[in-house]
Amino acid sequence: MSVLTARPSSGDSQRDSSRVESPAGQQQRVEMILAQIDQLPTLPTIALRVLEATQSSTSALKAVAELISTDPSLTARILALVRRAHVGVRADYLTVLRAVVLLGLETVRSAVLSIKVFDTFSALEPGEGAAFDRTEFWKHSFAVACAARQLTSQAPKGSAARRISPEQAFIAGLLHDLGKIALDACLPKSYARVVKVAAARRVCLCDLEREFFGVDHMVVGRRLALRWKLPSYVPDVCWLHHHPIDALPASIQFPGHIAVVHLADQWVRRQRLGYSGHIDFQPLAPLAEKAGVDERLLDELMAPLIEQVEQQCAVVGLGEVSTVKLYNRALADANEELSRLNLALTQTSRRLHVRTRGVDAVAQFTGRLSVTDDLLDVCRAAASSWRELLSAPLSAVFVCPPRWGSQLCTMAWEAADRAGSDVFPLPGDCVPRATTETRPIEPPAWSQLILEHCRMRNGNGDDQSAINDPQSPREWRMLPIVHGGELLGGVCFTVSAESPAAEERDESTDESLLAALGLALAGAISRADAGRLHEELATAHRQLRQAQDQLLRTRSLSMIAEMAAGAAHELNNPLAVISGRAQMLAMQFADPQDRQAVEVIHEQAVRCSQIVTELMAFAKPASPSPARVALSALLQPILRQWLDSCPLSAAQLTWHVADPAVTIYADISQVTTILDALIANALQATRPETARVHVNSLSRGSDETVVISVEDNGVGMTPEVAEHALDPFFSYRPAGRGRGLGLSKAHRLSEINGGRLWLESTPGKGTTVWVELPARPR
Amino acid sequence: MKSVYTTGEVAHICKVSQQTVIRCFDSGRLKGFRVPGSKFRRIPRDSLIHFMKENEIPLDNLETGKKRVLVVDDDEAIIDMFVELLGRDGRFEVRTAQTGFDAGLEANDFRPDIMLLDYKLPDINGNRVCRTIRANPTLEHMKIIIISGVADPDEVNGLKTAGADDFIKKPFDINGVIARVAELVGA
Repeated sequence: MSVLTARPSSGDSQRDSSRVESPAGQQQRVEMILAQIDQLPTLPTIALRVLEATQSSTSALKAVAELISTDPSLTARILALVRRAHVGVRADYLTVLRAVVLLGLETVRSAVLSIKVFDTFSALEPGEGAAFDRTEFWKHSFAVACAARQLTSQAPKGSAARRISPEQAFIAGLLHDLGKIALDACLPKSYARVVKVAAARRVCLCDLEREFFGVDHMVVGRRLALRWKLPSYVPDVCWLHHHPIDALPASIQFPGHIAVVHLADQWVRRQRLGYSGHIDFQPLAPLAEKAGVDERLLDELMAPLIEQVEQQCAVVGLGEVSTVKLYNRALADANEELSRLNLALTQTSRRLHVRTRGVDAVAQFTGRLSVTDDLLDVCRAAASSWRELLSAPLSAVFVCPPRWGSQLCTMAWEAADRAGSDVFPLPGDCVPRATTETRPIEPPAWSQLILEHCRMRNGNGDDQSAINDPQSPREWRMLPIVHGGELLGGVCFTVSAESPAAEERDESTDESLLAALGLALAGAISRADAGRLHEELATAHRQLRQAQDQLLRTRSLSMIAEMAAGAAHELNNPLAVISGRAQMLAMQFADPQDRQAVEVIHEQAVRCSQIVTELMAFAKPASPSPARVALSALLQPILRQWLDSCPLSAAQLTWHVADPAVTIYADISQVTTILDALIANALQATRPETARVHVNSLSRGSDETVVISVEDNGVGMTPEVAEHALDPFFSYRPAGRGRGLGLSKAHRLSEINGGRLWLESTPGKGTTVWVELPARPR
Repeated sequence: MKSVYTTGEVAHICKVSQQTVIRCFDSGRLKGFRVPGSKFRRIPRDSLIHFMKENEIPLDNLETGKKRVLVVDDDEAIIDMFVELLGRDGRFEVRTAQTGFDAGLEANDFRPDIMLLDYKLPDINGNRVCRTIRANPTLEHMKIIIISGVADPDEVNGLKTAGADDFIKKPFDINGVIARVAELVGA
């Protein structure tokens, strides 16, 4: 029974709380409980009136029959009792008076009392939470009543028990635990606890009642019996039925009643007929002896008891089920319990099955990965695993790490018969907002976007069977992938009604796979970051190397400039003296030959000075003052001047500008120097009779830069020569022919004008030098 | 060449005070005349030379009619060449200095009509000398030609703004230099 499963601790705490009350407080509590008992409904008048009818005269029988007739429910139950006891009675003959006569006043009286007491308390049936089993209680009460009646009617003649009226014994037995039902009606929850604690701790119920309420059911029962004006033996039996018979005060009027009820109670407890809340037993022998009954005869004496109890129960409509039916019901109950257990087991099994699917999916997913996988590989594996987990028609996994500005989306999708992946920029309204919650997100724009991408990658736009079949409408779902409190991306998938696995989904399954996804994606992102860092480092290293080279070059150039400046001053002074003296001598010499000789001295001194000046101009050219001019306008006079001064014909020295709108933004005089140097270089590499020099520009007016090429069909350069062609004072020509500053000066000037210069040469075929310059101010 | 001098001019040439010149004029030791219609004293060139010889005053400061040229260069070979070149021409009176400091002293004393200045001097840079001379109002008529072996075009532009009248790069055409000097001083 449920009362046996209660935990003792709950009773202890209750007891403890009651113990802290002061004696005055406890007294007040007792008074309150008793006041509540007093408020219980009184026993219906009809019961009292029936009890008062003591003589079984005809008039008394008539009066009782009339009383019963006023109560239709009572009438029906008394007639039913007659039909049960006297099977042969014809229904149409049966009147209430006839029933009373047939049953006898005593039986009627006890029946009426039983019914009315039972009804009174049935009206006060407590609701949920009450543990005191009323049905079992009434069974116990009827059993004690019947037992007491049996004892008093069947005990050996002359015994103490025989001196007591069986009907009085019945009534006393019936009402001996009146206090319990009264307490249960007034304080249902507390009383349920008392019963539970008593059962768990296997102590006397009365002691616990006193501990909890300050009063026990005996006192309460006596009080109620007095109030209900029940026959005077009833209060005594209620009050003293647990009292040792030997210790009863002499003033007690009905010790016999008490003794009989006591014996009956103990015997009934042993037979476990009903349940009174008491679980303690007392030895029967002394009680039987007191009642004047041999203990060994008790079993025989009580033989018909069970039948009588059943009959009594039937009178009040209690336990109208036969033993077979009870057995059947117990079987049904057991079946019900079994099926409930079975259901729970099935549910657990299904849950476990779903979890296993989740674990399998995670295992499968991780099995698809390798440490070198990039983000797209992980997305592909994730989309595939997700689709398998859900048996979804389509699943897509996308990542847009916030660290990368959430602007670039990497996505992989998989459908039944195809799969794909894509990297695309996100429209601003589609960038998922940061969230750390693991709950579905609702981005309608997103699902549209994913759908569009899947469709687009599917080949032609008409073939949408795998993606968007109107016959099987699907629902788009999206779950966020979060790792380390950062929203990395999401899983997008379709759910179709016929998808069997959809129902078997479990949040924990989703979460475990999502967590694995998050971890794998975060790893891939970190790897990508590391890779990117590596590339950036390599680039930085390359740039550093270039800057170092440039620095080295600039440094050597500035050293050359400094050296050239010093040399210019130091050399130019003696050169000035040499040339000056030579000129003075020339004026003095009359002989033209002598004069020519000193003039040569003067010329060579000037030439020496020019070399120094050129070196100076190369190392430290004047700061450019750029201007914007049309390229053709710039080229034309330069070429014309060359045609005038060099032996080449117009067919040999040609030029072409593809777009007349092309402009150049640079220092004009320096660009002129560049072009002069390049043309001079080309002429020096060719023989005048076979030379072909072509100046060409294929640039367009819209270009940011202008590229001019100077192409010749001269001797060309070997790779070794070409490598050093831009170095100052390097010349592939025999020593003494030219100073080798032309190309390097052109290179230097194109650089300081924001451009560059490079060349390509084949020995025997010729050389092409390209110079690139800005087309417009930047 | 001047033929008549004022008392102030005589005082400058003889390096005495103007009062002394007036006293000598009034006592008759320095022969001269008064401008008709006024009391201004005038001394003819011949009587000045006679007076200077009589009193053993050097004739150096007496105007020779030649243009005064100051050549400033730390290179002696350059200086020698210029002294010979300009002296042979006959139109110029030449003095020289080898440092910036000497150049300043000579400019104040010699009051040259033109200075040929080397850009790189041992003590002071040419453009500094240039600027100092241009800051002195008594030397404002003096012309300056920078003659240098420096090839840096940016530096040449800086010299012109410092107050130089021209820049001639070494080595140079000697006839071109003489012609440019004569042109600038109006010789």
